[in-house]
Amino acid sequence: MNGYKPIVEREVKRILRIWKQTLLPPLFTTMLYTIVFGFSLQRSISDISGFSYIQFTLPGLIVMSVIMTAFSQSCSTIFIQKFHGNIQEILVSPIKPFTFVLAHISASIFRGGIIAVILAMFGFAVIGLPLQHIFFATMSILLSITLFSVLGIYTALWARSFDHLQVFQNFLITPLSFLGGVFYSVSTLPQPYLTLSQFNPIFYIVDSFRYGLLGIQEAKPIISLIILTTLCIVGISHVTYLVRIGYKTKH
Amino acid sequence: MIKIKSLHKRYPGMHAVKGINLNIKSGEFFALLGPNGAGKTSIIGMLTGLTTISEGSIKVDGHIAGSEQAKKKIGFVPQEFNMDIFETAYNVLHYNAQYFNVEKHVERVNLLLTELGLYEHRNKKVKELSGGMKRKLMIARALLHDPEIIILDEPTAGIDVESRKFIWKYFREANKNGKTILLTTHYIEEAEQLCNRVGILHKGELLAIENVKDLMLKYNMQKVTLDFKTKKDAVQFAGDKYTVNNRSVTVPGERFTKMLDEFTTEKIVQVHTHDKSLEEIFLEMIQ
Repeated sequence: MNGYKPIVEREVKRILRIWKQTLLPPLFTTMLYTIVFGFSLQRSISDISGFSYIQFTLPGLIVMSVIMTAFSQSCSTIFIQKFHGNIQEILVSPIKPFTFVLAHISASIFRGGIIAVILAMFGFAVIGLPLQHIFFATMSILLSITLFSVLGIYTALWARSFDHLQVFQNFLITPLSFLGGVFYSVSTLPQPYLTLSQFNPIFYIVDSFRYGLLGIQEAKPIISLIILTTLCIVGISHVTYLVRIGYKTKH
Repeated sequence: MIKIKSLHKRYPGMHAVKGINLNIKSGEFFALLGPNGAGKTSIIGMLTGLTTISEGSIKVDGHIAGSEQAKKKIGFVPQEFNMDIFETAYNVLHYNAQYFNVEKHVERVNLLLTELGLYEHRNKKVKELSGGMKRKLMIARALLHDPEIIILDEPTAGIDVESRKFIWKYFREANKNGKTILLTTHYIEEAEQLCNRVGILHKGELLAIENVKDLMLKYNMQKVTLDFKTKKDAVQFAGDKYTVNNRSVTVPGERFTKMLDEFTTEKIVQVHTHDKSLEEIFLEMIQ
């Protein structure tokens, strides 16, 4: 695993050095959502499966924050390395492509993990969020960070300009998040949207994390984890291959 | 040490390298000379693994270029600054040493910082360093893993004379200590001063690969400068064939004797002979 430690060390130091950009915004945004939904909308929306609207929504909001953070971590750091040219340091070194990918996923886990833990603590302390199945809660967060970190690496490799970085975020992650049952129960959707939701990976992330915290689910949690694990394995394998062939990094 | 065989590089709409064959021996100081767009950076890119090979092969001490084993043998100083400008000089080396799994890397980093005169600037961010210091930092980065082959792509471009002379001295010493060095440069004086052999590259083709001295002998044939009494005499002598510089005309040495027969020597006050520089040979070849 030559090269793993320095990449992770560099990224962790960067995350902590510019914490106002890397950690504060997702925390602030999610807490703002909580205030709006918790103290305003909640009064006009009835309980869902025995939980208040904010208790039902917060797991989804945490997932949204975490996946955006994981995506942005790997995407921005690799794209900036491409932009400044210092990705060549990696390309001329004997670091294996898999090590490079794994190190960036680990950095995303560090950053996304901090966000998840702080927001969960906030949920436990402020809105009385329960923790029913720690295994499912932890696994769904780890797999979601991995999956979206891999997507971030894809985007950074593909992107030619800063504008390109926004394409995935605006036209893929945000719509999928909103359609993935963050704010509502997917089972309330009419057909064909109910069936289409089964093809949205964010639905499985939100559902399994919600199961971990609240103990309620719309899909079988173990099936959700299997689907997410499969997507992670396929994503890691393919992005490692792209790094190996120098997709848009080698001329 | 480096074997390049029938190497081609094609970009969309452009054939940048056209069937290059080149062997660089262990311990050699070799220069690739060529104008912009000649294909020098493409060749170096393929050698270091930064650029894909369209056709042909490169072996680095028996290993395929771009492989892990080949990368371990090469230290690369690129033409463009390519460091994280927000990192300190120390950290750039600290991380890169670990990419190459350098043992006792802290000592190695400090040694190179000291050797290259950067130790007191080690805590400065890269963006705060001068051009010369950045170049020296890139050199230190390339030497961290004590590579057998050093590849220098325009290593002294855009830096002051003092830094340039320091870098020349440093690599001359490295070559004496057994390092194989491949240099590309626009400064032909640099190749003339440092290298054993040069390759002249033009529009993707190698026009010549010669020992520097042999190249000078082969293409040189002394030049003769004739100083005339008046500019009118110089112009009359030069005709359409040669350029007049004040009262002087420079002619190729091999034609000098014949010319003297055609022209009265009374009008010539002085005759100098001098060798063509590598730069003049280079310019003649690519024209």
